[in-house]
Amino acid sequence: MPIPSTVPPTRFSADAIDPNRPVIEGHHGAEYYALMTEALHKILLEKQLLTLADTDRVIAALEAPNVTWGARIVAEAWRDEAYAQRLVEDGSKAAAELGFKIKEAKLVVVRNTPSLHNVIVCTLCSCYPRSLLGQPPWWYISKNYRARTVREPRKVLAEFGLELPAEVEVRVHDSNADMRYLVLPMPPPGAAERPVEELIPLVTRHMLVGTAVVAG
Amino acid sequence: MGEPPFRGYHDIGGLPGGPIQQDEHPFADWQKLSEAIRGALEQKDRCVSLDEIRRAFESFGEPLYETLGFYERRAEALTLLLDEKGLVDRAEVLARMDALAAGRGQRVDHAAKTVMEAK
Repeated sequence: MPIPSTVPPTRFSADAIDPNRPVIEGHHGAEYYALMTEALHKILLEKQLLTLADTDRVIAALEAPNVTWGARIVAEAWRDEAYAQRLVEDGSKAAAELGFKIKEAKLVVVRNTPSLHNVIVCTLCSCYPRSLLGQPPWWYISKNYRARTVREPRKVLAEFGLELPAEVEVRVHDSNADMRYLVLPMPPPGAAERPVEELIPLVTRHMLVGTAVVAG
Repeated sequence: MGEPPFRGYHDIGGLPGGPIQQDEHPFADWQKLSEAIRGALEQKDRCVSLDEIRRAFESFGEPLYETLGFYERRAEALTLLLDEKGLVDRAEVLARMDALAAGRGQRVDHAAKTVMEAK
């Protein structure tokens, strides 16, 4: 497929989209943009707009967050109902209690119950609580996940191996520039009495997005 | 009012789509560096913001939005934005890409967004 050349940005695009045309999952250009990034970095260093230490520091901050940070919050909520309630009331504040600073936006925690299952998407971009969980998985940033999850969530969940009974309500949360979501999954039996270290490995990234539930 | 609501090409929620590819891809070094350049410029001089990056890839045209991957779109937007702000000339970036490629026995096709072995 021929790839069009770049057009300069305009104030906004007047492109209309055909609501019946499927999304196109393009993944071209990795080698080209790797080279562009290398070239841009060299130029920024030469112009002294950046130093090597500047990008090294941000790379370290990008690499540090991971699923266990989110799992730590969930484990705490499973053990302490008062904490779970504070978490649902103000996610950013409750995360900060455990030392996790959500830098990019307000953290909203949505709680699963026996009759409600939450799932997270970002249809417009790929907003994700990166400062807590790290980079999103490939499928989360894919156009097929972004497009379909709000239209046919049960079908999407089934593709991830999660079949929910019809009586369980499925609620889809569409992230935006000012909000990041985290799912609080339902606990395994006896979670309140188990140590945090034992609970953390039970929480997967899929559970925190809502594409899986705790086994058993 | 009276006009239908504006919908940009990035506003894909609810559109039909195919199966979701569930394979994992590592966070590549160049992707980290690209994100770090933006983050560092934002933290240091506040000269680019994520909102501006979004505005750039939400207006650089539907054909590019469809063909490029997620980090590739953001990298394209970053260069466009720095050029627009007069901080880095886009032509200088493209020329540097050519020079880097030439040093490795490669050449760049800027229209096709590919790098290949030089004959």
